[in-house]
Amino acid sequence: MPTIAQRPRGQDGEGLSFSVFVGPAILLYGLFVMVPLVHTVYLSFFQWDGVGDQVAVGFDNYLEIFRNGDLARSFLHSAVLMVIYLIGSVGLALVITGMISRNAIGAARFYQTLLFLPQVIPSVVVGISWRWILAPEGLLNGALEIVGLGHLRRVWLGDFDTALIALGIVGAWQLYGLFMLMFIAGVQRISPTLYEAARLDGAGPVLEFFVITVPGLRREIVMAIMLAIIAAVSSFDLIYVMTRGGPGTSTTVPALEVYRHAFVYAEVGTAAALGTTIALIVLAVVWLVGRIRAGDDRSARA
Amino acid sequence: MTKNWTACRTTRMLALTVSLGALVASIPGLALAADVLTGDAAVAAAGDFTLRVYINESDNRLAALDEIDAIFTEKHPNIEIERIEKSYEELITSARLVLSEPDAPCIVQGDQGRDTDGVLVKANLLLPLGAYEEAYGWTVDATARWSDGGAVWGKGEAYGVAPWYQAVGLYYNRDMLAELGLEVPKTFDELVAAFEAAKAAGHVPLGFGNSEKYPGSFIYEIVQNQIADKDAIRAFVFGQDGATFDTPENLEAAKVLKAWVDAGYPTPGYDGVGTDDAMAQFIDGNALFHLNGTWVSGQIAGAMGDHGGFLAVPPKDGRTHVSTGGVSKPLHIAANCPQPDAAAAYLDLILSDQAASIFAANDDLPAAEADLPDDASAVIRDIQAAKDLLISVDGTVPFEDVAVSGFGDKFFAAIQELMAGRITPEEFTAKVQTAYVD
Repeated sequence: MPTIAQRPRGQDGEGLSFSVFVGPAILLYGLFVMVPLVHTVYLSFFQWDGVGDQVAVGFDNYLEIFRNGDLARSFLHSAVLMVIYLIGSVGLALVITGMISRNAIGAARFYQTLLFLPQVIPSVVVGISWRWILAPEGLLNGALEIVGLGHLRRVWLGDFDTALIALGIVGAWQLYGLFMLMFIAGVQRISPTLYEAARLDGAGPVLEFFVITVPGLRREIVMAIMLAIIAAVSSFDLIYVMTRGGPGTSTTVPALEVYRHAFVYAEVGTAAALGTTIALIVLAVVWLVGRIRAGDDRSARA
Repeated sequence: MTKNWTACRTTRMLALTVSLGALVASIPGLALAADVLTGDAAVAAAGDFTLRVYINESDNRLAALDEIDAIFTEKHPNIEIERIEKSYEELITSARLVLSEPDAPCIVQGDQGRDTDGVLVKANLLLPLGAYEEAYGWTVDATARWSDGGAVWGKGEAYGVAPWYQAVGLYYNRDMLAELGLEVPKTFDELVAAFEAAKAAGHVPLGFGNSEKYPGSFIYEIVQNQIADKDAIRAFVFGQDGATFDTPENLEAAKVLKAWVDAGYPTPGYDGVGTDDAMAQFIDGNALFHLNGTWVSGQIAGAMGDHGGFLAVPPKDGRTHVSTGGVSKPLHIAANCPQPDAAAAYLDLILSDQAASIFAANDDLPAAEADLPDDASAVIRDIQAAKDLLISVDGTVPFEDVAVSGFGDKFFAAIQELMAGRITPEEFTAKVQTAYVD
């Protein structure tokens, strides 16, 4: 894909109309995203309760993140969520795409709508519903009992060993709909002749999926991976609704700590430092994935 | 910022004193203490004024407040009351910001503890109420007192008043208790015996949901209150010199709580059950007792009527009742309120016996003496009796989770770890102490 710099220069008027169209967006973005972002970075070097005097503390707030075991562990929990989101949501969306893109259009649309539903349900509703499903006497434990797997029953969200994984699965369930739509849209772009050729060559559904669908969706997959990682690092709403970081500190995540420090503990500086760290991690990951994608594009063109 | 505010306040006080001087000269027999106006004259002097009240309370309280507001505005047609209702989370997270605005609501509710009220006092956002306390004869709880500019909690200047009483205790299912052939437990040992009886009959002994984490502090505290010295708990919360969590009594309480868990008293899988879900299960009749605060009295009384009951956790032999609670979230007057005298007159009405009876009629628990309506349900009567009992033995201790800024969540997490057997009782007290001094 050629970048803007490589694009041939247009006529002189183009620059002007370009700024007219992009200007308002840049202004709003600057005002509501860039200014608060810079302000957050600034605040991360102070100790401040939100209303009183600000005391400059240098990098103390950042050092606190590493010194404080609970805060450091919250980043580890994010990493676990990241893995579950990648396997769960991106993987599941791919598999579903592979299955329903082989169906007749009408049926595909039906499944598509059905499977997209989790994405449009507000997070709080998702959280509360799943809290009930995963409750000690909830639907999941009941279902396990019925199919004779009663020994697997547990308090999914109240167990130190399963709470984080359960949250990850719910989060992945909420995310995969979006990725599935992206993938299905991408599949439409793959030339049907490729599938036809594969079928004529005797490829089954599985081979077809790995040889044609997955490579054809490379761009969408990279994008989905980025979104899944961002969702994992910045997840807050589901966890706040379902466990508040518990039991113990087994499901605390950085964004939850940002909320607590900024609004509950009146430690705005620590919250700002945490927020900045989250932003840096997301930027680093996006940059990395972007590099992989650029490399891919180059090799694809070669 | 601080300097500006002081200047502002000085100007206002000067203006007030000047106008007061003129008023005192012109109106004979004016009720006056220190340099504030009280009573009807105070409200009249405010002229046409919209008194804004920024608050989070349950529906039955707000309904009672509607009635009380109507009494106030009928008596003082120059005042209009505009109530801004918030969820608890929203109130706590926004109080600082709202009070920093130049046209802050005159009455803003805060919450006990260093995370909320402590920050507001430190930032000079609240009006000290000493003069009104003296003039009106208010009873102000230690949890609303601060000194040294917010550094010392539990004594000193009054910064807030609350018309409601609250305590953590046990709701019980009256029918199930009778069916088990039990009396309402009068001692801690009888309570444990009742747990055993419920367990043997296949009921959940102690309905308890903890997915929100904070209820964990209640289940620890109902045990701790019967073992530790109440003054030691108060010293711990208010951060007095030498206060520590790492005491033999607190360790013993942790061991008893762990034994309760091992005996299967709390709702199975409590960490995965929401506290509202646990309450719903109790109302449905699955548990003998339910651990909660008097603040859900309206819901339980409404659903169970005379089939429910309430008791403060009974003491061990030779001790008196102690329960976590006290007055509820205090109401403050904003430091920059242009009509503090009118705001104080409104607070005085809310604190009155007249208002108390209106709260009581709405299934609520006022701090002042209230006449219960004849049709009050058994739950409400029990709660009123528990309150009278606790007050008579000086038996309320403040919530421990607000002792130090940032302490609450570590305290809750440690209790979950203790109950799950992830840490030993010894590790628990050491861990909480570390979080306390950290």
